[in-house]
Amino acid sequence: MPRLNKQLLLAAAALLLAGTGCEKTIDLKLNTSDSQLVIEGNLADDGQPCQVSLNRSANYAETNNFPAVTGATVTLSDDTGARETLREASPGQYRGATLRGVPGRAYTLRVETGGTAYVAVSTLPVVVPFDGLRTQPGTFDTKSIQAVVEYTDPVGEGNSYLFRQYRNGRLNKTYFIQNDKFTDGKRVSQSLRNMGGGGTADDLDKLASGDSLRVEMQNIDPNVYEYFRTLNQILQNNPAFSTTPANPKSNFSGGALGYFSAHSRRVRRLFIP
Amino acid sequence: MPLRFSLLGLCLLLLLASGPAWAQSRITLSGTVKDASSGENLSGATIRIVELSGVGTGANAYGFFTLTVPSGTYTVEVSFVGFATQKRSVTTTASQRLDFKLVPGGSELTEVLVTARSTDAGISKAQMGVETIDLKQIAKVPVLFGEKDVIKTLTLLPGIKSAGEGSSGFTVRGGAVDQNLILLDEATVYNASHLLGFFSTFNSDAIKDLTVYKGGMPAQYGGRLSSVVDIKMKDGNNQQLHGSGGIGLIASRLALEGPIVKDKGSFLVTARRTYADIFLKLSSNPTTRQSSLYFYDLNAKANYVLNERNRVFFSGYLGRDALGFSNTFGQTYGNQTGTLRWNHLFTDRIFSNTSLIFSKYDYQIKISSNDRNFSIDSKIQDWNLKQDFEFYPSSAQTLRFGGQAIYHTITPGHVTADASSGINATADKTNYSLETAAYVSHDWQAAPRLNFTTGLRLSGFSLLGPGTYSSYDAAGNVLAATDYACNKFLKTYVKLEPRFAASLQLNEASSVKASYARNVQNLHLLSNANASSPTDLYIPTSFNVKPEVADQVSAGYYRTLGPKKEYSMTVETYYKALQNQLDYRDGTQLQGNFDVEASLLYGTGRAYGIEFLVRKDVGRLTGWLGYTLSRSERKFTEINQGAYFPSRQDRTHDLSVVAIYQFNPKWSFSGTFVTSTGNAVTFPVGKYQIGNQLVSYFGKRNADRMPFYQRLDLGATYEKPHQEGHRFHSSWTFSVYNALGRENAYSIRFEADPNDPSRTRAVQTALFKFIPSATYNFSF
Repeated sequence: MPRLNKQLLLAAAALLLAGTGCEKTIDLKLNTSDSQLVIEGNLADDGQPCQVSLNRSANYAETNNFPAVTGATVTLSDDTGARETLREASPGQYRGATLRGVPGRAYTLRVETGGTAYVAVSTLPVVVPFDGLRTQPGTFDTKSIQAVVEYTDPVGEGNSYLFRQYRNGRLNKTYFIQNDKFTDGKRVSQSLRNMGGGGTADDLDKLASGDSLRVEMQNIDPNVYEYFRTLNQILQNNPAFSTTPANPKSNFSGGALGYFSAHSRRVRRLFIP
Repeated sequence: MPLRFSLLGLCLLLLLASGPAWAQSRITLSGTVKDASSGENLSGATIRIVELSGVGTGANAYGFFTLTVPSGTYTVEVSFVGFATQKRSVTTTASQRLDFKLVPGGSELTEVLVTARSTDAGISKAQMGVETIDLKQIAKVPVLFGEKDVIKTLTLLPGIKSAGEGSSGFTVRGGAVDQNLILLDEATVYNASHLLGFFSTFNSDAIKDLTVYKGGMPAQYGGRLSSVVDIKMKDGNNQQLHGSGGIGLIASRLALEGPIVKDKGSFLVTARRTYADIFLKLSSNPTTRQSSLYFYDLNAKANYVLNERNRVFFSGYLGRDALGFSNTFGQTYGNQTGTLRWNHLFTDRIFSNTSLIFSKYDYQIKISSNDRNFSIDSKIQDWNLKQDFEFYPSSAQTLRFGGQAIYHTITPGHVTADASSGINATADKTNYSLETAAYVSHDWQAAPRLNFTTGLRLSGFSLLGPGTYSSYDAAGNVLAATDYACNKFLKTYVKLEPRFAASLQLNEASSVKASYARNVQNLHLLSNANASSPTDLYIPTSFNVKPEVADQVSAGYYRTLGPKKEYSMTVETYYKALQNQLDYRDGTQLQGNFDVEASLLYGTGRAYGIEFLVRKDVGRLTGWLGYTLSRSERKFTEINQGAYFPSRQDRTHDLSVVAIYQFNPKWSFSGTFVTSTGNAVTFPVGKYQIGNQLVSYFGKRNADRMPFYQRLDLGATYEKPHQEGHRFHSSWTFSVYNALGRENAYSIRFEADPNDPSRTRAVQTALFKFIPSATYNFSF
């Protein structure tokens, strides 16, 4: 809701300034930084093994070339004592083989590279069923179409959700996140509006009649929710409301960028009439 | 608490002990100074005895003055810039009442265009770091959308900087936006902006003048670290009924003032409303047609002279912004203030003012979509009882003392929803606190050219029950939460705030001054947005949040120049040390955050600089040139490894030039030029990918700069020649905002380059370029 509020205020400001604002690309001399380790680790309850990608950051002025981190030791363990070492399937891409995601279990991912260890713990939450998927006209632009997800939040705060939306098989880059701060124990029907940001949804993401729509619902743990919430803060780039930008809150110790998420994965599809 | 009352008692004792002793040997001349045409008080008018060198005084905020002289025959001279000087011969055998009515213009009529202030006054008084803006002065300064605005004009003075393009927020001497105490007829205005800050809440039709204290605040003011902006509403014309108004691009105004009983009482009512929403109705889009976007404000004031010793005032303000999209979303917010005042003369040398002040800022958001109907409410409300005494023991001394108690009620935004809604209601976390203060301040002309102002303010702040308050560990995790009962003093902070100022007049035309002031602040605004947001959150000092403290030392050199003293020059330098400053942990979300204290960081700060100001207040060409060289830094253990870093409002260079030229009686032209270093910001120092999306990597806080800012505004005013015998006056004001069309960066974003996916680029957004406006003004 608070985010909605900001969007509306911004819309009002836009209305007020209609035709007066202007944009241009500028040259800026930016500071540089040491290359940082970026870890992206996912383990879902869909029977697939754990996947981890290791890369390094680049200076801002350079081309988008993010070197893969090879030869790292990546281990996954759970709270029952099971453990495996992930093998490097391709440079920087590490895959597990035996451990599977089970709701309720806590998983520890340990990445060792260059003599430093980075550790993250993520608990695969109890699964909340994905009850329904439908579409409705947009609230402000009534000609647009929004996906609406439906589920019943279990009583007790802390349930967190991440939705990914695919239009005709193409992933919308927006991280649609929700938690139950205001909806604890409620039946929720939430439209996947670009509130909370996450990239710039371009025209190719706009839903239209005849499209095939697929939505993936993940139950994520609260720390992963915090990661995506703070990631969205720097992705949304809302000029009037930009906070002092900061790096997202990673659940890795040791100063690595990125996250490790053990989550559920439920998918629904529909054809937009 | 007892300590505070005993201080007040001490003052009273002092008063009783010293009063009668003086009265025996001297005679008191007292009275008021008013504008003959409107009956408005002329506060700051100079009263002097021609025969007695160095014996003189200034009229107080209510136009009242008192002078103590030996018996004899004297010429009393009363002057105020923009008014004809009046002389009156009096033979004093006993104390007597002298009321003056000054006629505007006088001999200087054609010369006085900007009647800003007495040019000499700044030289002799000990007070420094003070600037006054007269409303007549700003009328011709070009502004955005042609809406003249005291707050925006204020930011053209050295040491005072606009928080951003088109913003009503401002920072003073490196302080934060919330460290300014904005008073409208003594009532605190918590959110001084309309429409995201593009307009301030102050309708210039209702305002008489504005005084800003950047440093060395007199002891009667307190509660904020950086500045006091004291805005006074007009009393209303007590001679005859007058009206005025204006039709502008964005808003229209109407004001009416007149006598309740001639010479005894008057009223003033002003109203203003924007009409951008009228154009929404013309839209082809049904959603846009049903949307609302407007603000209005109403000011009202009335005063009545009961007798020579008693006068009462009422002033009120009501402003509201509304924003709505069809039936699904509605937001309103605004301030309400009310002030009841009673001026009383105990004797002809003891002036008293008692005020009961109400102040409130609130917002409401209503959302209804699908099965989610709910509303969010928030408010901050004050009841303030204030007592001020002014005692004039001799013509060389003024003693001010008094006290106040403010009861604050703060309700952070909370959700109300019925059981059928898809949203849960949230707990109402209203908190209560009591802010108290007692002060004494002594102005003393120790020698003809040496002045001292010595003051002491004792301020207290108590967090009151009921409420639930938590303690936290270093990482912000709750250690324990405690419930407290009603009517309990939960935590009290008592602080002593010494104030001192001295001036030494070197000769007729120049003086040097020095001052020291400590200020304490107990209400803290949490905002992490660039633009002022109506949902910004105020929090009180609590168990965890300590009172903010600022110690400021400053020194200055003041000089009038030119054969007619038409120029005045000021150089002031300052150093400010700040304690218990607030910031947030990275990634904090303030809105809808019920445990905001968990996200706070506590640190220190320092700000220093030098300010130059040259003004020309008389002649065909008037205006000023201000330049500031300054630095403002903060230090938090958790940010930038505990090193000092520039605060967002840090701007190394800041230059503003304001010029108004009266070409002939019909036409006048004006221009404003502003240029400054860009704000300190945080740009990416690297980039990486998450889920095939580019993400910026950030290094040190505020290590970068926005591009430098530069703007030229131009204005022209045409006054229709006045027809003999007609009361109706009219004028046109034309202006162009950002006439050079420079694209000043409002924000910069970093994104993938659409033309070359292997690279990233920086894109700046500029807001206003060549914004023309025209306003028609009239009065009768």
